[in-house]
Amino acid sequence: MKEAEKRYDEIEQCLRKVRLAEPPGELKRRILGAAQETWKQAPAEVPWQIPLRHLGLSAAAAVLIVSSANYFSTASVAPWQADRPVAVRVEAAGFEDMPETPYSPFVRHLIATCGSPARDASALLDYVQSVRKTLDGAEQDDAADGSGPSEHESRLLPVGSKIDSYV
Amino acid sequence: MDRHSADDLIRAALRRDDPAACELLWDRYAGDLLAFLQAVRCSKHDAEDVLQTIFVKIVRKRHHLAAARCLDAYVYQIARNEATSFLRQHRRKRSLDWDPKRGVSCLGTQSDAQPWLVAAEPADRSQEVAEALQAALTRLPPVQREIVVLKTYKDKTFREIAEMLELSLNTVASRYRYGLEKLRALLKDLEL
Repeated sequence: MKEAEKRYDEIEQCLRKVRLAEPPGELKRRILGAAQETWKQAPAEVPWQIPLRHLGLSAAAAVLIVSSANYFSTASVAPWQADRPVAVRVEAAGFEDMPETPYSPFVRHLIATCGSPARDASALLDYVQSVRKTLDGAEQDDAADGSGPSEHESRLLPVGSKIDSYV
Repeated sequence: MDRHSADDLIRAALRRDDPAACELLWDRYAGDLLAFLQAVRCSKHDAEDVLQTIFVKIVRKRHHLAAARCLDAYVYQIARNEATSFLRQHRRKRSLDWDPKRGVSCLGTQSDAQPWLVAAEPADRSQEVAEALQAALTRLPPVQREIVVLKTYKDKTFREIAEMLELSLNTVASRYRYGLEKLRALLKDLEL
């Protein structure tokens, strides 16, 4: 390590036998003349204008990009959408609006506060019960005709069975 | 005047938009920049031309300079950009009228007869020594040469050079040592 330092010192000493040539006075006059001429000609950029200009340019670029993206997306989708029917928004029927709800006001309140899964289950139950009633009516009609369906008997559970426990 | 007060004076003049800032900038940077450019370009003429371009550019961007966090870094960034751009233009020009007989390791070295190193003290072989050292320095890679010149002839510390050239301290130190090792081998041949 010391040997390396010694070597570097020797080279540095050798290099210091010479020095850089000083800039000549004529060069100073020439360069300062050109610089001061530029100073007079070139209007200085006011510092507060610089960020403002950057902001303006950024905003203009953003508006251009967004509006062109919007325009091109609309233009590319337009022919594809031309023949399609217009979608109509239909309000979902509320559970409270359903007629003949078989529950007491307290149960309805519970269902309303528990949220959609409970509503779905009770609506399903109502639907199943209405289907069952329809089928029972059809079976009674068949029995009245005297041609009981031995092979086509309904496999649905009778009314009042344990299906109520699913709710 | 120390470096910080010189920087403050320059900033104040730039903020006042006072053309006297040119003179202050000259006193503060001309010597160092010329050394740096001569080290990069190996040519006194080219270095002087680039120096003029740098000063004109600094004047155009004077308010950016006044707002710059570090004056040195800003000025040397302009100097590096201008030197690189000058070098690129020169290379393009050289490639158009390329003369294969002239083997040059650094643009302008052979054609530029003006020395940028002069003897520190008059002596018997001083001119010869100056020419030999200039030739040896010219054969270093520019990245090593600029650091050797700034450290040896402008007495810059590694830290100052690292700030000027935006390099790490270790990079500057290692390039300097590699440069000295190469110079040692070159100077051994010259028997200096």
